[in-house]
Amino acid sequence: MPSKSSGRSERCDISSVIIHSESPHNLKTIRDSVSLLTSIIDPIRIHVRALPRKKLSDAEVSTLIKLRLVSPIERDERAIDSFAIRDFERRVLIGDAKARGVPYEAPGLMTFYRNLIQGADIVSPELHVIVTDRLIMSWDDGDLRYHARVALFGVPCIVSMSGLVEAPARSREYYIARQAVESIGIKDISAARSFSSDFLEFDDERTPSVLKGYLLQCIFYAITGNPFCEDRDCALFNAHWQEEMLHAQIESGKLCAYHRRELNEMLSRLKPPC
Amino acid sequence: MPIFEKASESSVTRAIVTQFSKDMEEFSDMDVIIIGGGPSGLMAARDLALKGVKVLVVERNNYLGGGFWIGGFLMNTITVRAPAQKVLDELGIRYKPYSKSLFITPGPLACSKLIAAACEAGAKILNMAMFDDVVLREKNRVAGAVINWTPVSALPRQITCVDPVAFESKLVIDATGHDAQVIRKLEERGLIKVPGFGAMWVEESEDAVVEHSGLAHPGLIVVGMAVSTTFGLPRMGPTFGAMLLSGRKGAQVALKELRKK
Repeated sequence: MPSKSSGRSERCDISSVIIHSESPHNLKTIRDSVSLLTSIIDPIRIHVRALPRKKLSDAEVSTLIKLRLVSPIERDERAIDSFAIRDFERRVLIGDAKARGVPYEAPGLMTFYRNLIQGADIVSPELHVIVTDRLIMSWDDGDLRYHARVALFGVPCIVSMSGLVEAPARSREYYIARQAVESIGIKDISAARSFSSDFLEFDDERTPSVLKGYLLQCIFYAITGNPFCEDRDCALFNAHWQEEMLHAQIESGKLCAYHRRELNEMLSRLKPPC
Repeated sequence: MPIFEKASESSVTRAIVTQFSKDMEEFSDMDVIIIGGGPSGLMAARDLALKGVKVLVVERNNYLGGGFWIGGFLMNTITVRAPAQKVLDELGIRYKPYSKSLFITPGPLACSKLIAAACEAGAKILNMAMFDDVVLREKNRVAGAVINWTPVSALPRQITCVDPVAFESKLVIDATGHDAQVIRKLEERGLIKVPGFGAMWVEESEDAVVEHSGLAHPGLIVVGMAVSTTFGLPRMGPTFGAMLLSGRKGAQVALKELRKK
C-alpha cells in the first residue's frame, strides 16, 4: 500500500498549489516535474518554494525523534533520543543532510509539517504539498506492521522521494536474486539488479515524470477527496509494485478519460468567462 | 667502494628515537585525532591536512588502509559507484568503468595512493597503537584519546603492565569501522546509547552512511562503517565509495567545528 488517503469527502476547488521542498537538492526535480504538470492543470498556478528553514527548538527535535521508527513490526518502538540523532535532524532541516530512507510515522509527520507551514487550512483554495526525502510509514491493523508510502493525503499532503524508490515493491525476481546473493555472504545487493525487472532509483532521470503523477493525486485528493483510480493506465493508479508505478506514470503517464473530464470540469469553473 | 655512506648503529638508533620523541611531543596536542586508518579515516585525514589542520591517525595494525587493500571476497578489485570515482580522479587513482555508474580499480593501487595522499598532505600516522579510552572535559566533551601499543593488548596482563598515554585534541573522529570503538567507549561510560542494526528500511545504505556522517557527541565525529553502528543503519559490504565520501563529510564537519572553537 504505497499511498494513503485520510478519506476526506467534501469537494473543494483549488486555485493554486504550493509545493514545499524540504531538501534544496530536490528543487530541480520538483521544478522539472512542475513543468510537465503546468499545462495539464492550467489555470491552477503552481508555486515551488523551499520549506522554511529554521533552527529547531529542543522540543521540536524531540517531536521528530519520537516519530522516527526503528522496527516495521513494533508499533511503539522509537529511535533513541541521542546527541547524534538530534544533530542529524537539525542538519536535515537546514539542508545539510538528506533523510533518504529514514522512516517516520506518517500522521505525526503531517502535524509536524502543518506547524512548519502555518497558514495551511483544509478549506483553503491553496493546496500545500510537502516533498520530502523522509520515508513515510503508516501502521496497518490488517497485518500489524508499518508500510512505506509514496504519498500521504491531508493538510498538507506529503510526497516522499524515498517512497518513490522504496514503497512500491520491486519484482519477485529481484527479491529472489537478492536473497541468493546475500545467502553466499555478499552484502552488496546491487548484484541483484541485473536479474530483475526495472525499478526507480534515487536520482533517476525518470523521477520528475513519476513525481508528476503523485502531485496529480494530491490535486485530486484536494478536489474530490479521492486521490486514486482503479485504471492501471491512469496516473492516479495506486501502484503497489514498481512495475505498476512505472507503467502508470511513464508508459501511460496520463489521466484516464473519466478523471480528465473531472479535472476539466473543475478547471473550467476556475477560468473567467470570455 | 661501498654503495652506502657509513652510519653507526648508535646514530641510526638516535635518528629513530629523536624523530619519535619529536613526533610524540607533537601528537600530544593535535587539532584532530582520527582513530582508525581505513579508507574513511584516511580520506578525512587527507582533506583536513590539506586545509592546514594538525591531524593524527591512530591505527592498531602495522599497515594502514583496512579493508581497502582488497575488494569483496579477497578478490583485489575495488568497486565504487558514481559519483565516488571523482575522488579517485582527485587522488590520481587509475580506474575503469565496469558499467555506466560502476567503476573498478585494483585494491593495492587505490589503497597505496590514498595512504600516500594522506601522508603527503601532512597527516601524521601512529600505527601499531590502539585506542584505549577517551579524554573527557567539561560537560563530557570528547577532548582527546588515550592510546596504548597494540602488542600490549595481546600479551598476558602479568608481564605487560604498560600504562597508556593520553593525547589531547580539539576533536576526535571515530573511523574504527563496525566496531565503533570510541562510540562504544562512551556507551560503556553511560554517556550515549547505541541502537541495534536495522533501524532503516532503505535497501542500499551507502547514501545513508554519508548523510549521517557527522557529530555523534560533543567533540566526537563519526565516519565510515562506525556511522552504521552509531545510527543503527543496515550493515554494509565492501562499499568503498561511501567510505571515501563519508570521510570527506567528516572532514567538512570537523572544519566547521574547528572554526567555532
